[in-house]
Amino acid sequence: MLIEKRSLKVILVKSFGFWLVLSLCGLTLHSQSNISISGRIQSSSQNKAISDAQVGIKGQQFTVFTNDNGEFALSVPNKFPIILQLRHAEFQTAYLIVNSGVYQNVELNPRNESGDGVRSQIIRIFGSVYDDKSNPLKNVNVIIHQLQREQRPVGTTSDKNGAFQLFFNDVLPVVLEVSSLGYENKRLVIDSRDTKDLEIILGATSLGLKEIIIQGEKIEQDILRADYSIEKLDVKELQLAPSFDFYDAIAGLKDVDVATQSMQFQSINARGFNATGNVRFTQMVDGMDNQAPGFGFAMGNFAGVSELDIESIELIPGPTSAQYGLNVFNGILFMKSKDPFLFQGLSGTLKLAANRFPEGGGGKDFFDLGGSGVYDFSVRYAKAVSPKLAFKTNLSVISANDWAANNFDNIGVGERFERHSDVPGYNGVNSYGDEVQADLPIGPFGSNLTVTRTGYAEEDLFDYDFTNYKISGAIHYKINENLQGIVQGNFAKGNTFYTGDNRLFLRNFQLFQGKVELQGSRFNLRGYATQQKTGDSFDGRFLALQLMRAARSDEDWFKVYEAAFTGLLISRGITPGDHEVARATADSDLQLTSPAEDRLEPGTEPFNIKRNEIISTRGFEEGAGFKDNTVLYHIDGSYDFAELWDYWSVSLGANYRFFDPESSGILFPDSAGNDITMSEYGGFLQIRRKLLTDKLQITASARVDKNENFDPRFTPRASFLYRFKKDHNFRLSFQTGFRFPNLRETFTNQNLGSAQLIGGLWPLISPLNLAGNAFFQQTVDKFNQSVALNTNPDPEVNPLRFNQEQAELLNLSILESGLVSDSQINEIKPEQIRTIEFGYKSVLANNKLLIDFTYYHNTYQDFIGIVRLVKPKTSPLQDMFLAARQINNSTEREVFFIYNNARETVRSQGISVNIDFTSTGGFIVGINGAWAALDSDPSDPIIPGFNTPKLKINYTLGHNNITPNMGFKVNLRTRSSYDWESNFGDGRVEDYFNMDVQLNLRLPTINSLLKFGMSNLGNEYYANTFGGPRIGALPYVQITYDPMFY
Amino acid sequence: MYNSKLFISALVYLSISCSYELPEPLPPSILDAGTADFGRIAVLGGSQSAGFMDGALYMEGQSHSVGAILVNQINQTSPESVVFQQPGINSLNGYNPAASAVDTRGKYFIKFIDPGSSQPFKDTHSGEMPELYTGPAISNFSVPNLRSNQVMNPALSANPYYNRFASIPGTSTLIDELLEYNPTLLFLEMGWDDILPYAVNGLTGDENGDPDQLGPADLTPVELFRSSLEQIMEDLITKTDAQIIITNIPDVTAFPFFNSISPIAPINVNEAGLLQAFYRDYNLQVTRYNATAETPRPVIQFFSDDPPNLWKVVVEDPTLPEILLDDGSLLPKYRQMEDGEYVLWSVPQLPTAKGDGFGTFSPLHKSLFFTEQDIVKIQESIQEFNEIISELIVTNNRVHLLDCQQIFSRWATEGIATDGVIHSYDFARTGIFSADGLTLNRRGSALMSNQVIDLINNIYGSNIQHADVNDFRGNEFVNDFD
Repeated sequence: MLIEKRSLKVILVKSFGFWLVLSLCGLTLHSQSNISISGRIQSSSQNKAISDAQVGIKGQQFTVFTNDNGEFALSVPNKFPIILQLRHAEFQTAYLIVNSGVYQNVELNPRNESGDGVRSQIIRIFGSVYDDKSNPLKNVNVIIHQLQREQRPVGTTSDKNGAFQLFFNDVLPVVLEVSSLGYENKRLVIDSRDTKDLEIILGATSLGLKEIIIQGEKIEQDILRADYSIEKLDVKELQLAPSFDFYDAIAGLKDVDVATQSMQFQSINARGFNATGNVRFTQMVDGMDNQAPGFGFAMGNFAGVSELDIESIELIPGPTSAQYGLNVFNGILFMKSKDPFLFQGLSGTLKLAANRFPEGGGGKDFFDLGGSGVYDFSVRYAKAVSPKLAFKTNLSVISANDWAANNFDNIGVGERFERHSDVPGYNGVNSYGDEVQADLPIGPFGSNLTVTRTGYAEEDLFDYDFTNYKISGAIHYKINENLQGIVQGNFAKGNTFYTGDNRLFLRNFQLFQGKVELQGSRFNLRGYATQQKTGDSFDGRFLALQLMRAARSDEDWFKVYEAAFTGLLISRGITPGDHEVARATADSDLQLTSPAEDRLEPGTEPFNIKRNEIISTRGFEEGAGFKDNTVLYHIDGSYDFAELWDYWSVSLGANYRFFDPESSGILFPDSAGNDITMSEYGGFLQIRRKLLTDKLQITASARVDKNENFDPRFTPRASFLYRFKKDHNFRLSFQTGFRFPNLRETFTNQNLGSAQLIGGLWPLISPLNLAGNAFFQQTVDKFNQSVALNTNPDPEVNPLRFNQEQAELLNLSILESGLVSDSQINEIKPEQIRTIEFGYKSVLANNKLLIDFTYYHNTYQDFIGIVRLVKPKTSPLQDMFLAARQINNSTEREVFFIYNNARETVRSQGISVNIDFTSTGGFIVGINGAWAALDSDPSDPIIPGFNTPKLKINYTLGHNNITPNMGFKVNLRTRSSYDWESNFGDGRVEDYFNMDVQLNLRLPTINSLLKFGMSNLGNEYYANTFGGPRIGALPYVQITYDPMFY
Repeated sequence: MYNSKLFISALVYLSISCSYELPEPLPPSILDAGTADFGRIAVLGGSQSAGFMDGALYMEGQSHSVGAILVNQINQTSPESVVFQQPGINSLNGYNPAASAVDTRGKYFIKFIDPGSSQPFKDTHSGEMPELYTGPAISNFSVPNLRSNQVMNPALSANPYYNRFASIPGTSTLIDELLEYNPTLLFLEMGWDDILPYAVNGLTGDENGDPDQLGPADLTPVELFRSSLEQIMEDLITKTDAQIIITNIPDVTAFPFFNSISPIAPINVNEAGLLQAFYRDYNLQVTRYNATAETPRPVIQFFSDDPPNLWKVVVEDPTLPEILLDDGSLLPKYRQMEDGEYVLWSVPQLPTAKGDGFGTFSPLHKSLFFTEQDIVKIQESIQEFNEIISELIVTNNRVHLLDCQQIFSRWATEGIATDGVIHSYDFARTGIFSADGLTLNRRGSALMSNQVIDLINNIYGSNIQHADVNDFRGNEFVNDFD
């Protein structure tokens, strides 16, 4: 899959243009002052200077190291007091409350058996806020912005009596920040785990703006020194992402590919082999696998976290199954919602937007832009009702008109990839029913000509209007200081689209996740259930097929077409030899041998009545509706021995999951009396050892999993992390990963209209009698190409000019070579990946420059994919010549898409680079890029499509405080063109370039943020999957009320 | 200790625990014969029932005779195997009587001889004369080319297909062999081979020939057919308890033998000029004759605007008026074929304007083409024969009709499809006729077997499963462009 020169050129030109813009912008604006701190650190026992000690600000990832004389100096945008954190591998960690700039001879105690001396604990703060006349102040923001344990703030607001209370788990001391409109801000150091009756007096001030500026760090230490490549978006980055939905911001992370199927359904992938239903990528929400269990993949953020409740997103590209469970093959995304103890109060957001603007301009006058409205509203409320009990609730509603899939290029016979619906063999990408074809003997010189039925455009079948709801709630109960119980429920309902084997309209689709979790300081025990309900969902292709067949059967339609074209209907006034006339005749109610009706035309009442009847009928024999109410039950537990042994870190865990599909026999063979289920379980052990005074970290982990249908699999991993000269972190890892076939790949038995999708279990494959009776699809393609050459009417190309039958006889040996043999189709087994990854990560230039580089090489074996087989109804062993005719007639053959394993080993490799720079003026400039490619194009047809642009580059320019209360961000994305292969269809995804912008204004007077933005500035429609919806501009305005942040 | 054993057992169980097994599909219902008795099934008929295909009786054709497929379907669900013994021919290509004038030829196959032309032709494999049958007692008593009057005639042993299994050649009769078998269910196909010899020879035989000395191209006289069939039926009714299914005769003129070669073909100007010159003198004589004749004769014309660049095959038509030439000889009776007339599939080669000019320089003999009048004549004969069959049926309730006339007519006019697969009423790739154009091939035989099955199930309340027609192969095709 080579990048076309044209697309590469576009990317380079656009890249140059972007950097030109950057250079013109200049990077010298300053918006706040820094504080400078310097000092010297020495050993308490020997009074010797300590070199290489880390000096940072507690809760932030900003770090400098002491020199050989133990001296350090740092300059940060902040205000006193702050808390310095002093760390060294051989000494206990110390915290220093800093109120001035110079410190001499700070002493550190040597480490002992208890480790670095740092212990997190429950911290309770009870207090009240008054003005200088002792009047209680309500709605005062009380926030601890940076905690040690996690990179997020904790806070609340005072009640009508001015009282507040905060409970959280962290390391003392902490800095409490108190602010309210019209009053001075205060920063107080809290160094007691129980602070009661804290009285805070705020003096009035004429300045009503918050002065606390949160300066996020380039990267957290945990991530900087992780042995995986981790991408993280914290709450602030998510809030200020230049996208309509925070989930869209993920697309800007390096290595990430997105497959958009709906506004509400975007599949995330990393490192190749992208898919609309991405079973190789796992999405976790608060520890729960967010997949729709019947489908086997997560549905973007359809059933994820509300924008107001999202705290952070972490993405690990590549396989991490040794730690996070089997099936984490291409990567994993963690979505973490806000803790109600830490994020309390009421918040809400309202977004108004518009989409689906006409390409190339709007309506008749300047102000008539066209487009349709998008409305998005969310509200969140959280409260700690006691030091032990807290709860939160979320509601979000979005209503819009979804992106339409309207690619009508011809993928059938005729002028391929040109939109000529008048060719007899036309089969449009997003028109359905026209894949029903037959070879009729009406071509020149007696040759066959492929004719397709008249299908329906997707727009005629689907109603793109939708309203989606998300409701969630959680109750957190702290049993004691080290033990917390959580009960959580997430529910989503609405409409969306899925480009799977066919385009599915998921109507009134529901997904519910309920969780019970026990969190200890060293262990975690969790159980959850996920149930999907497909509601009134239906399959667009079957809707089209049933509409067509309601008027006339396929067999009869082709008979009439042939009769009309060959002149058998001259007596009825039908002009022969005209394809348009023949089609119109076949679409009419002319009766030949069977009763027929006029084709149902979209928009007419008979069409609407029949459409409603079909989509409300479940099962594909007569209807288009389907049911998949699969339930997943999951329990897992882990124990972390991290604090038991010095230098050694050991953790282990186990999980069990149980699938209970419920499709009433439509998608799975779970018809009456055959209640299928599937269970799998596994466990892992991880050992980590630090050496060379923490400079080298070696991690070894192993995992064993068993699925009831497959043999146990062992997944080992080893990684080496080396820190060189303070700032340079090198990592090298080796991993073997497996992925069990999911429910669908194992059990499915689904009629796709043009094919039957079959799971890989042998009891499902065996009855098909494929050996000796079916051909591989690529053999059929090769045969057809050769026949077409031999029947070409151009005497220069084909001097002998064989007729169709002669040409087919001539090429039978091609078919014989592609006959499926006994050994070629076996029961499916887990797929395997072996990965070698090298990475480098560093924060340089006084924490202003982040450099992140990764190279990986993947080797895939037993890749799970689809083998496409064509089985003529007459066995080729009986009559190869007859079979050769049947393979191209949809009524005379069966097409099977069977989940199976590739025999060929596939290798891919890639490089990703992320450079992120923050100027002294606060401008953030970033560029990340990824190059990914297969080592060689695989010939094995089972291997799924790589479906990944060879080159993708993201650019970022932004400033959070270009004025005290204003920020902006611009993202640009370029993708080279690439081939897309899927069950739905194969084709080219053109290169694209788009830009997202946002400008935000903080409105402290009303604790709000006003955000103006536009996705895909320029309204240049693009699709990131073949056959998927095309995405245009989305301008929006958003106001968010959240006292904790604004 | 107990706990560790339990743990190990659990571990082993979990690691090998059962994988999913689909429920076994329900087996088809066990055969219920209803009121029928499948104990001794027999077949008596001609070429069609013998499994004669592609002009020959060979192993694969014989194993796909209607009777063989019927019994095979019965045995699919029958708890006890029903025996259907055929006189095994033990020959791959068989013996092709129509093609063995010079040497022993076998079955036909179809070949494309001209790139780009949709008109195929036929050829033969080498063949072998049938060997004597020495196997177990048979239950398929069908003999290729069997006329109804031969069933009770020991002279049938002159037919090598009967001679090979006759218990006493020259003495025993076919009906005796059948009666000795004492069938419980008999499939009787009579009349097809009484009509076909006359039709395939272009009606050049005698339609009222001597009953004792019928020629190979003669029609079996109607009354001979009546008396023969009545005698057969009387023997069967009185001497056995068999339930009898008898077929009537389809419209054989719609068989591809009679309509597969068009009388019209393309021609270029040079060829037309040569031919026109060849027939110049002939046309002069005809023109001269027509000037005074009451019934004019057609001239031979190769230049034509309707249709352009096409020529019509020249044939010899004995029904044309005689023209006496000056030298006392008769002008040959030539004409060109008309629309609605067909060159028969029995032609030794396709008509051509090249080379020996078969059908152009060398007009076709009457035995090689079929006129509209011929079609009418054959159809009238079929109707007479079928009326005789119908009359016999109403006389006894043990006899039931398989209405092949109606079934074949429906297939020919409405088309045939099974499970979405379209079959054609010809010997093309999708066809149900074998390469001889007269007998059904394996797919056709399966189709007909299903009709028999439907009839048996309807009459007797049995539940025999249909044969899957698409499991049977069609005809053999090759490219031969030398």
